[in-house]
Amino acid sequence: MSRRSAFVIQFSVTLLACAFLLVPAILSILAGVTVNYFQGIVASGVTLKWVGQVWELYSDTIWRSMGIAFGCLIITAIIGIPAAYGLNRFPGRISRIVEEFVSLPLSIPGLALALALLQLYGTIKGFRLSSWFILVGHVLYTMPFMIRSVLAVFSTIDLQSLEEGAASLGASSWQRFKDIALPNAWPGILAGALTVVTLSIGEFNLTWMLHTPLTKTLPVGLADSYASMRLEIASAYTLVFFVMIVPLLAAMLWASNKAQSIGKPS
Amino acid sequence: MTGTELQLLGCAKTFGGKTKALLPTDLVVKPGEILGLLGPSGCGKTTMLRIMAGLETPDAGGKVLFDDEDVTKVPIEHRSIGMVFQSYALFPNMSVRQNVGYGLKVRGIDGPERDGRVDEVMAFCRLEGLADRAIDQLSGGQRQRVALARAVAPRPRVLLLDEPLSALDAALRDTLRDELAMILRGLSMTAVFVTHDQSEAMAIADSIAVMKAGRIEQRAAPEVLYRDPQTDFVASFVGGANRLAGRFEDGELHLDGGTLKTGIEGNQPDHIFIRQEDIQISSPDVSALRGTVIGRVYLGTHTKLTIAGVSETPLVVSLQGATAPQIGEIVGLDIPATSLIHF
Ligand SMILES: Nc1ncnc2c1ncn2[C@@H]1O[C@H](COP(=O)(O)OP(=O)(O)O)[C@@H](O)[C@H]1O
Ligand SMILES: [Mg+2]
Repeated sequence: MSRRSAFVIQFSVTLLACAFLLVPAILSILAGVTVNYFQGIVASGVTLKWVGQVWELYSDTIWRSMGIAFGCLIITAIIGIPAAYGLNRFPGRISRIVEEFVSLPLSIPGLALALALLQLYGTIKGFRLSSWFILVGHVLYTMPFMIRSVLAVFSTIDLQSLEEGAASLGASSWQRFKDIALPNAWPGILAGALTVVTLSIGEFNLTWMLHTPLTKTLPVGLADSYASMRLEIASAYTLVFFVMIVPLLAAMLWASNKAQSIGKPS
Repeated sequence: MTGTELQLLGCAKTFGGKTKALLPTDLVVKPGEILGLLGPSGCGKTTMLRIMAGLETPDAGGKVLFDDEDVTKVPIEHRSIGMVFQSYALFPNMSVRQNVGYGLKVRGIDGPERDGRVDEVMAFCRLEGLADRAIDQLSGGQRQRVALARAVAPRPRVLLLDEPLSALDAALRDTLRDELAMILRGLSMTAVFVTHDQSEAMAIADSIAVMKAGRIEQRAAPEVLYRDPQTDFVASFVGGANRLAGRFEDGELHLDGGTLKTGIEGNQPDHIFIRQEDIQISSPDVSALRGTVIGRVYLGTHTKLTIAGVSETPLVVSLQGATAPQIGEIVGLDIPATSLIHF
C-alpha cells in the first residue's frame, strides 16, 4: 500500500469518526433554531423563539447550576488545595489511605452516593429541600479531581527543596505556603478548578436523585424538557447547554496541557 | 574577624533508628572562617550541614551553638542562616530580583531599602543586568550566583553551601570555583562549604574537615592536610598519594617491583604512602625499583604516568619538565626516603 493511499484511508476514517460524533449534535442544535422541525429548517425558517422560551421556562435551572458549580469550586479549592499540600508534604501510608478514601466517590456510582446522602440527611427537611443538598453531593463527587490535579503538579516540582530554601531565608510556614507552594501549583489548581466546574455543571446521575421540583439543575431540566416539551424547545435547551459547557471544556484542555508542561524544559 | 562562631557539640544523627549518618562530632568554626567539609558521597556531609542549618535535629545530647547561643531547638527560619542548596532551589515563580530579595521581603524590609540591598548584592555576585530574568532563562553559573546572592542578601550569621559547584559543567567548574572563592573571601562571613572534590576544598576553604563514614578524620589547613596527613584515608583521598604495600625487613620495603629503602626504624608498617610528584623516573638499570608504563596523559604543565608492576595497585606519577617515557617502556623509580608518608 502506498503512503498516499494510507493517508487517504486514515484521513477518511478520522473524518467519518468526527462526523459520527458531530452530526447528531449539529442536527440537535439546528433543531433548536428551526421554526418547525417537521417541516425542516429550509421550509420553515430560522428563529430564536425557542431559545427565548427556554429562558422563560428554565432560566432558574441555569442560574442554579452556575451557582452550585461556583460554590463547588470555592469549597473544593478551600478544602482540596490544603489537603493536597498536606498529602504531598507528609507522604506515607496514612496519606495514601486518605488519598484513596477521598477518591472513593469516583468508583461509587452517582446513584449509590445519592442514596447514601438521602439516608443520612434526608430527614433534615430544610437542608434536604435546598440547593445546598445538591451542592454537598457535587462537592463529594468533584473533590478528588481537585486534589489529584493539585497533587500532580506538586509531584512534578521539588516542593520540599523550594520550601527549605524559603525557610532558610526566614519564611514562616504560612509564607512558604502562600509565596512558594500556591504560585507554583497554580496551573494544577486552574486545571482542577475547570474540571470541577465542568463536572458540576454537567452532573446528572447524582443530581437527578437529589433534586426536588424546586431544585432542578440544568441537566435535570434538560431531561425534563426531553420528556415533556416539544422537540424544538428541548433542542434549544441543548444549545444553551453547549454554549455554556464548550468554552469550559476548551479552557480545561488548555489548562491541563499547561499543567503537564511544568517541570519540562521550555 | 567579624562574624559568628559556629559550634557543634556531640552532634550525631541516626536515621530511622539504624542508619548512622553522623557519629558524635565536635566542631568549631571560628568567626569569619571558611570551613570545607570534604569526603566521598554518603559520608554524612549534607547531614552535618543540615544539622547546622536546623533542617535536621541532632540525636539527643547534641548541641548547636551560634556564638554562645544554643540554637539546637531553634527552627531554621529563626536561625538567620543563608543556605545554598545542591539543586539551588531557586523559586521558579519569581524573577532573579524577587529571588534575591525574598529573604528581605519576609523580614518586612521593602521599598528603596530592599531595592538598594538587592542591587548591592547582585553587583557583588556579578548579576548586573539579570534582575528581571526568569530563572529558566539563566545559565548554570548564573543560577549558582543567584542562589548565593539570595542566601547572603539578608546578611545571615552563617553561610552554608552544599556542593554549590556540582551541578555545573566540568568546563565551567574551575573558573566558577575560583570566582566563588573570591566572593566568599570578600564576604568575610562564617561559612561552611560541602564538597566531594579535594581541589575545590583546597581552593576555597581556610580549613578543611575530611570526613569518612560519619566521622571527621582530620581537620586542618589545606597545606597541613596535604603535607602532613594523619590517616591512610586523608593521604589517599586528599593528597592522591600512592599506597605501597609489601613486606618490611630491616628498614626496607619489599615490593613486586623491587626494594625500597625507607629509613624507617622500630615500628615498621606494612604499607606506606608516596605522593605522585615525589617520585622521579630514572633508568631501570640503576634503580632498585622498576615498573612498566601503562598510561600516559600529557597535561601541559605535567605528565601523568600510570605505572604497573611496582605494588598491588598501579602507581600514579606526576612528572614535571623532563620528557616522559612512552607507554610500554620499563622504567626505574627513585623514591626519596624523606618523602615517604607513614603512620
Ligand atoms: N532523610 C534520610 N533518611 C534516611 N537516611 C538518610 C537520610 N539522609 C541521609 N541519609 C543517609 O545518611 C548517609 C549520609 O548521607 P549524606 O549526609 O547525604 O551524605 P553526603 O552528603 O556526604 O553524600 C547516607 O547513607 C544516606 O543514605
Ligand atoms: Mg550531600
